[in-house]
Amino acid sequence: MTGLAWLVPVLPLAAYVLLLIGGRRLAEGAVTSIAVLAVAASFVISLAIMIQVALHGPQPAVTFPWLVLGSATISFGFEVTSLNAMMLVMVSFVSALVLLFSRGYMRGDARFARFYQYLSLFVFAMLGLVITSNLLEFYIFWELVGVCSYLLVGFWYFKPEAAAAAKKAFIVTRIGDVGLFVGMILLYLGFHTMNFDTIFYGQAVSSPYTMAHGAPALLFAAHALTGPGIHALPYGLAPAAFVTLTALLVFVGAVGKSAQFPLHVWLPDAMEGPTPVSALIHAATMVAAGVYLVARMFPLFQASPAASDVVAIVGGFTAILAALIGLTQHDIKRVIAYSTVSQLGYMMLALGVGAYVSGIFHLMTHAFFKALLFLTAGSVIHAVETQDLFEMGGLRKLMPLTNAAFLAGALALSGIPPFAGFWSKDEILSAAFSSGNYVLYAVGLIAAFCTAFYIFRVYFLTFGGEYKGDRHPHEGGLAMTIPLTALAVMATVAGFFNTPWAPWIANFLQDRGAVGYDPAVNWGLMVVSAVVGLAGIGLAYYAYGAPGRAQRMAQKSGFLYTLSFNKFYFDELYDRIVTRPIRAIAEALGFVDRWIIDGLVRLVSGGVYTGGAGLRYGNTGQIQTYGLVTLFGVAVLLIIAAGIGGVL
Amino acid sequence: MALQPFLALGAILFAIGAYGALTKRNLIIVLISLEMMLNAANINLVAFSHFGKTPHVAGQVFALFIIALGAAEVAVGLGILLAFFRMRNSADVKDASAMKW
Amino acid sequence: MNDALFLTVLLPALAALFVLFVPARAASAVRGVSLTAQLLALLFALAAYIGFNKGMAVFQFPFAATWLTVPNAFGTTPLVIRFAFGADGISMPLILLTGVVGLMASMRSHSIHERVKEHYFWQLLLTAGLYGVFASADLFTFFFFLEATLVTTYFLISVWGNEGRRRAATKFLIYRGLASVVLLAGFIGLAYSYAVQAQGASMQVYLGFAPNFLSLSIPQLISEAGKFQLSIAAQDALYLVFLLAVLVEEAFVPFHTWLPDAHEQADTGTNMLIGGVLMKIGLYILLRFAVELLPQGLQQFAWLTGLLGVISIIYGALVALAQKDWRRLIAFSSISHMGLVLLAIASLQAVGLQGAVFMLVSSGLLTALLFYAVGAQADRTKTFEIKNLGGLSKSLPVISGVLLVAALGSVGLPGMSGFISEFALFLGSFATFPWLAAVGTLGMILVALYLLYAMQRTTFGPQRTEYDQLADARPVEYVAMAVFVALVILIGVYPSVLGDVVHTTVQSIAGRIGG
Repeated sequence: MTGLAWLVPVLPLAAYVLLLIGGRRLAEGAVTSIAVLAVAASFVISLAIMIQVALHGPQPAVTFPWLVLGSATISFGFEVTSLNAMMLVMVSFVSALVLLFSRGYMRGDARFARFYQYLSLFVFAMLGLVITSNLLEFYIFWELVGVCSYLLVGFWYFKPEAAAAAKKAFIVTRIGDVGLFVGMILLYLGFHTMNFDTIFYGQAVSSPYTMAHGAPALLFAAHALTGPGIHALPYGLAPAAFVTLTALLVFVGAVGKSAQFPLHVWLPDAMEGPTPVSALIHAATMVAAGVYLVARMFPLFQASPAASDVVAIVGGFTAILAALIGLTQHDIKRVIAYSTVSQLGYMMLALGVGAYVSGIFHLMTHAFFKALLFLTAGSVIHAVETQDLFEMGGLRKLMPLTNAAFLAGALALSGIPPFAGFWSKDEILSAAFSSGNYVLYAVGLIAAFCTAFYIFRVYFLTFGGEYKGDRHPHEGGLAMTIPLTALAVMATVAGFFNTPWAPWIANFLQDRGAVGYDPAVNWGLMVVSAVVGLAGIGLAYYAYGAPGRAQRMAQKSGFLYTLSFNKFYFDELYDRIVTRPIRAIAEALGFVDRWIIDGLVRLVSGGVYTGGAGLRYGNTGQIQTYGLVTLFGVAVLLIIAAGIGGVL
Repeated sequence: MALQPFLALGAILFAIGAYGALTKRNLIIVLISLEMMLNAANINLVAFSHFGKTPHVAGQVFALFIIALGAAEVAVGLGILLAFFRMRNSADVKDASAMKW
Repeated sequence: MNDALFLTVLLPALAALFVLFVPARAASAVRGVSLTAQLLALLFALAAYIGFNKGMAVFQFPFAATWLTVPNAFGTTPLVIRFAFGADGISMPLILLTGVVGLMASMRSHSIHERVKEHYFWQLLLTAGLYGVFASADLFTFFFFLEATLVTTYFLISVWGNEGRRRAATKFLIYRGLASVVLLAGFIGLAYSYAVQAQGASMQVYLGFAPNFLSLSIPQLISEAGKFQLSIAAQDALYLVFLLAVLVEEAFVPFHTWLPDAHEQADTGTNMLIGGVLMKIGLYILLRFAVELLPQGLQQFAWLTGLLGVISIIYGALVALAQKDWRRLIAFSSISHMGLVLLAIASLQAVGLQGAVFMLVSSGLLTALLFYAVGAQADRTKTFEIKNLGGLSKSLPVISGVLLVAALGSVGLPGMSGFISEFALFLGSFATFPWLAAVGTLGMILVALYLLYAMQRTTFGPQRTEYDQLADARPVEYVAMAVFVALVILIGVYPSVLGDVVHTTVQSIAGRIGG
């Protein structure tokens, strides 16, 4: 089955090509069928692959030469490891449901087929990114993911906000991409290969994690300096410095893609896209790619404690920052978007402290409950046609299924046992605690409290109380309710895949030996996590259970509220210190170019012209003047000739 | 007899001719001055052909050539002068400035 | 088969002559002749490309004809001036590029309705010149065709351009004319130095030494470069001469102001030829003559060269951000991209050189495509001003889509030719100049900034009512754009189609110069 792994990304690509050619002539139902069936088939194959990996272990990479570059050949290919088998299943599962959901959400859109076309490409790019065995190939899909999100966020191109958000998303992630690009080049210069395995271990191995356990830093030094083709590292760097440098550059890429501080500003704006796109970006594709990158490059990060610390700190800081912003937003999608940023922070935090399994586990559970939250939000928006929390309300009775689904997602996000988020988030927190990062643990705990508060704030404002609008909200069709149900089930039970007493995922991911840091079970911390989550829900109930109480709380918190409401002014800050200066420099240079550089050119040409025009008046037409000048010239020449000794 | 007096005569004749050609306003005088300069050169050629370090008759032959050329030149020059006079009703050098600027 | 290269040059030139005898009112006959000639030339170029022996790093498809013999020019040996053609792995892709862009430009010129006959005459001659430049294997031949491109482009700009065409054409002529003069000095110096050195003269008698033989043949010079090194002083001096010529020829900062003006004034077909092919000649000169024949001179001034490249990258990108006219924006974008190539050439790494050829081809295709799409858009909206555009996705979905593809390709999106070029370029640059290359990567962000900014204002946004009734791409436009897009994606997805041809030659150069 693993030999068929290439089919997993290729099926959505085929759907893309099919829709590109004939999409406009097909009915909406046919378009949906093509795309959904392709991705569903990918899911089935992925599942089979995962089972095979669970039974027989990972398979070696299948590669073929792609380009001869310099003295080396770059090969492309794919491989199936336990990590990417799991990712394939998750991505294709969530994507298939989102695609199905879009059938109802996008009904009647003038570019319905185009939408599915882009979505299929998006899924293809993400699956390709997951399955590749090669950093360059990874980067290609990575950028393709970025472009798809550009196209999809800007899908409603006629909305100026959507156009601006799409551009912002592309450019901000581009900044990160350049970091990854440079990191990739340095790794290639250092190790003369693009294959993940060879980068990590100096040779191809069937599973990247067979040798991961041990002393990675030492491994690296040995690999770099005593490998078969002995060469020094670029610029004469010491192994430690080189590994840290490249790991940090790679992490810059992940920061951009996964919307970590300080490049987090694009993700909330990306809400301008259609809601299914948000679900896909936030759960399965775009932002997951950043975390996946760090997980895929985990040996590199393990080899550099400094880089790992940076990952953990950035992750922790992002988690709390985004959670604080999420407390006060009015737009239902923005709250969930900030929650994504915050949750991605948790994953980075986990990977940073070395908790490899916890990070990936949380990536998985998060994919389920975040897709669920977005799709329910989409269902709500579809029904009430507004995104403002304060114009909703009372939907519990009007949309019972959506209500239940959202509640499941919210409980999972808040980390209330036994919902999925509890198990994964708790693992991260206990890893932070038991690895001695108490500050990060505390930050994570506070963020967890905020998380529970803001998501239940959304819940109470949307589903509690009375409906404030003037429409007649009702459930969407089957295409919308089936994905909600499926995801709600997953958000509820996915946590049981990796419980302290049955660590299936941990075993699956570490089938060839332990990777990273696996915290011991700590029941006390579990209780603390659950209590903190419940406290957050309680506060939300207190604040939004009775009218007016929330406003009073906001007033009391004063400037803190303003700060949070204005997202800590990051957009304004970047506008002042980056966007405007660049534009000002560009305008100034444009001016310099036109009036100074080209001005100089014009000055020279003008000078030549004026000089010629002036000299013209020397031609008086008086033959005797000419003769006199000639005579004078001859005399001068003769005098010079005499002066230098008669040589002429 | 020595070379120098001939050269001096030639130089004086050349200088007078140059002065006349560059300062006189009547075109006929200018033409006459030009002829004087040609003859100054002739005197030099003839003098060198007799008193030069390697005397040779070629100098005198060249002088004859120049006399012939001078005659042709006067013919052309007077022809232009007549045409100019008919057109402008003037024989002043200053009026012959159609080629300025 | 051996004459394929020569025929690519000959066919357009003959067609140009033929066009002169077609009556001016038979415009469609003129178009037909031109299109046929371009197509045939492209087919010959393609045949040569396919038949190119990828394993050999020598000039292939040789063709030579003596044009003039100056007897006893050097003692008893004559000076033979020849028309000699041939291609190696560096020039072969560029010849094919010329064919593609030439055909598409000819198709594009259907929108020319004034003085049609002359337009095609000059366009055909320009194409012949461009083929000639890349296909020549002789210094004289090279220079001859270079001058041919100069004159023909001058007429194309000055007759069929916009209001400021005369001025722009003159500027173009003067700048590139100056570059040609400097280049001529470089050529003479090069041939002379190699002749002197080949005869074993020492440095002292260098200037007074009359060689008894002078070779203008490029393969001959290259083989001599493999046998001995030109003296350092000669290499340094000659390299500086070549660098100066290339800076002007290729519109590097600060000698660049003629390019935006020319692009702003020329018609779209001419712009495709200028931006797509003509603007690759300068760097081709550097690759052909400086890298192969003056490696130590290049090494000596590598840092200066790389710095000039980085300045062009950043400056071009920033100024592009401030442009209000699509054509000027593309011009600055092209300056910025060519800066990358300069940086990579300066790195003197095999990978970088390979990336340089990739980028020349990729940027040629993408620039031509950008001009084509922007021109198609302007045919309908009657404007190139970015601020007057908006919401075109609605009325012109296909053209907008192609414009987006071209823009993303220029941004360096993987899956298109730009990415693999940039990757190879930076691989070479980072190996030699980490700091310069690091600054150069800023260009990767800036290019996204200005192109996406322009896209946002052109195709995104609410539709303007005045553009409601526009008709989307016609079949002929479909074909042209599809060809470009297909090639760009083909190179991006399977770069070996290009890499295999380039690789052997570049490796052998790198082996020779020890890079």
